[in-house]
Amino acid sequence: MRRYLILLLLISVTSCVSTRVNQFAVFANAGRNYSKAMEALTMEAGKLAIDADNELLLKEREHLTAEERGEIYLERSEALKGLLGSLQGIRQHTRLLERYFAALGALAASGSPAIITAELGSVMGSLSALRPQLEKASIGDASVADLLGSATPLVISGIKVQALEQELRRNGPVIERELELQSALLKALSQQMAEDMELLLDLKDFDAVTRPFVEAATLGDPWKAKRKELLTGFLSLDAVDKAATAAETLKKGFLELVEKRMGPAGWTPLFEDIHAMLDLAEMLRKQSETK
Amino acid sequence: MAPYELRNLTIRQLGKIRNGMAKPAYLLSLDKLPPEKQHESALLQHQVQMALLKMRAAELDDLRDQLTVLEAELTAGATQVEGVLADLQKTEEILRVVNGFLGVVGRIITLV
Repeated sequence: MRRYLILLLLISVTSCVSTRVNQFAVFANAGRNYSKAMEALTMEAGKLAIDADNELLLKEREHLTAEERGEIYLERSEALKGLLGSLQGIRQHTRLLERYFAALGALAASGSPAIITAELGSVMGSLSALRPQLEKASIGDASVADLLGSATPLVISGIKVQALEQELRRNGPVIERELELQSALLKALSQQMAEDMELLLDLKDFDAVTRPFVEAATLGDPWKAKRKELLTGFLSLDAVDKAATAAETLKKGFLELVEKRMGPAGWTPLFEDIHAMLDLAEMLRKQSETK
Repeated sequence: MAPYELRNLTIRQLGKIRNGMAKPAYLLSLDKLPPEKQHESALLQHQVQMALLKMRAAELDDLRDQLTVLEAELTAGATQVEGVLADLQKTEEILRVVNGFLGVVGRIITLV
């Protein structure tokens, strides 16, 4: 009977360890998907900013002199390059987090191979090299310096792999702050994208629907179809709000994973939010292609 | 307000101005104004877009001191902007208020 109980206990412990290893693997996968989604979204955000500026330039152009047009064009191109550069910084930060989570997943699965520990060290080194640049920025609802400056200790629980536990004690609080930064970045990016999308819809509305309605002698079915397309297009702004929470959910998932307090919903909210990001990026990509 | 809050407030207001001045209601009213007013509006819209792009990409450290010094003017300007954008057909009033707000923003960041 005693041997039977010990066997049951062993099976149970092994199963728990295996489940924890799986959880880290799933999180690494989520981190990879999040990174892909963020990469796609920042690319589309850049294109959207250019599209919005293009339409605005064309609208302004009607009322400007040739000399003004030249000056304004050059100034705007320079300002857009600055904005695209800041989006590149976000992509760099996201890729580093992806590498970190992939290494964490591998460490959970394999014990403590030196090569994985070296990869984690390399990622942390790159993150701290990137930090001064990001600390100078102010993104979303808080300054980045404030966000990165107040790491709180994590309650690391239920981790049997020693090297993994050591790694999480060493760098877990820093990663939690970096995820908070991602959350602020994504929210600011979403606000910017929503503004640019709204601008594009309004300018198209004016040129293709409102002005023809006021000025054209006759209007046919294409006008009706365009009006419907544009009015329903405003509904797509909701998709931006949905995608904006993914980084916050990723941070929540990381804390629940490390502190072993995963809720009944499990990974579902995280994967749903990542899908929302990917859906938004895809929708914007298609819209951009049809311009 | 903390400098980052002032920066976010400014960015939000600039976004609202830019998008307000691109709404059909504003553009229809603008069509009825003389060419010199349409010209003024186009130049102002350019300055608003420049301010928005630069503020979005700017580093807080470069703006912190000026944001703090200009807090009262920024918040008052933002309130005025909010009020005037409620009626997009009052084009000339919008031009006047936005011009004033840009005067404050132009002391934080170089517009041209």
